[in-house]
Amino acid sequence: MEILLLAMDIAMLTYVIGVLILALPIPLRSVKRWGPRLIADAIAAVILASSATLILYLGNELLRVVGADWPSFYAWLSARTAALGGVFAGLTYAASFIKSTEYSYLSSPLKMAASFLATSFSALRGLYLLSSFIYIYRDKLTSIGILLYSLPFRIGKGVGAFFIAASLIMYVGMPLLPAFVSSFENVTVASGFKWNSETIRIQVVDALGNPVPYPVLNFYSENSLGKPVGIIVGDEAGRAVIGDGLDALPENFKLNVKVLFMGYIITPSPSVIKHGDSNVKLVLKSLVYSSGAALLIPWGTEIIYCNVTPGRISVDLYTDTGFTTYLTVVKGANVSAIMLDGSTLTCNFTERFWAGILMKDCMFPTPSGEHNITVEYTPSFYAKPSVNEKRITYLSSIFDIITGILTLCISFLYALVFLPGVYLAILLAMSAALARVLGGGLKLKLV
Amino acid sequence: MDVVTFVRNLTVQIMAIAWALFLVSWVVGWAVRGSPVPIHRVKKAGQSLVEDAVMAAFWMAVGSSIFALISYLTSNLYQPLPPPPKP
Repeated sequence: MEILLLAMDIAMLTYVIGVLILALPIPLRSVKRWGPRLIADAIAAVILASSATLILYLGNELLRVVGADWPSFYAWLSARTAALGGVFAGLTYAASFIKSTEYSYLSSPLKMAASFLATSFSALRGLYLLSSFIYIYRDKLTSIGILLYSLPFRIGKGVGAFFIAASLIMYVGMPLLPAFVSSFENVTVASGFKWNSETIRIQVVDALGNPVPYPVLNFYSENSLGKPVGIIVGDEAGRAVIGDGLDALPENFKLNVKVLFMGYIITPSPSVIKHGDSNVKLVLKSLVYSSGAALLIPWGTEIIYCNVTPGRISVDLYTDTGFTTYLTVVKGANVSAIMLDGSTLTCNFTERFWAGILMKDCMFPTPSGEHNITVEYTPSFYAKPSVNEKRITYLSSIFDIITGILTLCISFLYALVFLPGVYLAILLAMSAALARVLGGGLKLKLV
Repeated sequence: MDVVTFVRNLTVQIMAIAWALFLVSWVVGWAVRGSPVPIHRVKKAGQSLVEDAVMAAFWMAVGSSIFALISYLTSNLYQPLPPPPKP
């Protein structure tokens, strides 16, 4: 209010100076012209100073008419900051994590994406600063504008008019920014990023349906069976998960699976995992396992009856051709008896070391026909093999993900830097236009 | 002395000078106009000095009234708007 009082007094001073110039006994038109000019300026300044409250009221009224408000605008800004912060933190973490892995070459595009986000952060900070300044100091900005407007000899007329216009336009325009951004944002961003996160749960069981502990799942790509594209170790209950954000799977994939257990490579049934599967049960038909002992029988052998308890495996089976049965136990399981159709067999165990586990193997021939094999032993537990896991990563999916991340970051850049920039430019142009109406364009002819 | 007082004092002083200048202009104007010089341009300058001096005196006299009127009008203009009609 004090500023407005001062503005009124200075307007009066301007008026009096105008009158003084008009009363000068100098017959020079160029000097005399300033008299009516200053009188008109002073009257305009007084009108503005008296209407300061009206201008502020007009801002609130316009805001109500357009249906926008400042708390919603700040809520929008906070939501944007939170989303941006989340993505930025995730990207920074991913970039630093990836640096120590074999995919360190990916850290460069991730850093680029992070730099986009940093620019967006700066833009957000600018928006916060500008909007807070307008929201808090709007009335002061108007008052200072009027004060500058009322200075004699049009010293601050242009800038004063701009202050008044900007305080009104920005106050009404800023809360409309979310509506402006959202109306353009939907056009481009919607087609952008889709994170393809598929989850497939796998359960590995033996021929009887009992879970196989710590199975090592080797995944091979559709075309080659050479080097596995992924090695995943299941848990104690034979469960494993692929996808779920841990693996980069392509959109339509088909993977051949082989299970490594106690050093044996076993083809499960089914042996293929493909896109669209959600729960897969991999049955190892040639394996009977219980408490540290595994009996391996070849394909084509029919299991008629089976009784498995800790420390005893008894299997009735039928085969057209004879085969060799493999018995493997962990070091701690001592076999007390191996019986074929009730008669005890002698079997020489050979020790074997695989993936940090010491095991004992023995093999014995089984003739054709129906037979019963019984193994008695002291139960033990099967430790987790020390195998280096290798999550499934397809290069094409990596590119898809990077493209997705970059698209997301560019959409942030678009929504928080480009669109607000354009909007602020529009507001500034409108303020300049209104300032011209208040200062430059308005001409009063009094004399 | 604060800024407001300074500006008000300055205004009063300038107004006093302006009144004095009005008298000077008015006198000089008539003197030039009535001088026995048969040059039309000089007489016209005297005429314009008298006219400007009279206009200045007029604006000076109505100045405070104009300011008061504007303040009165704008303070009456700002009234809360009536509530919107209900169907």
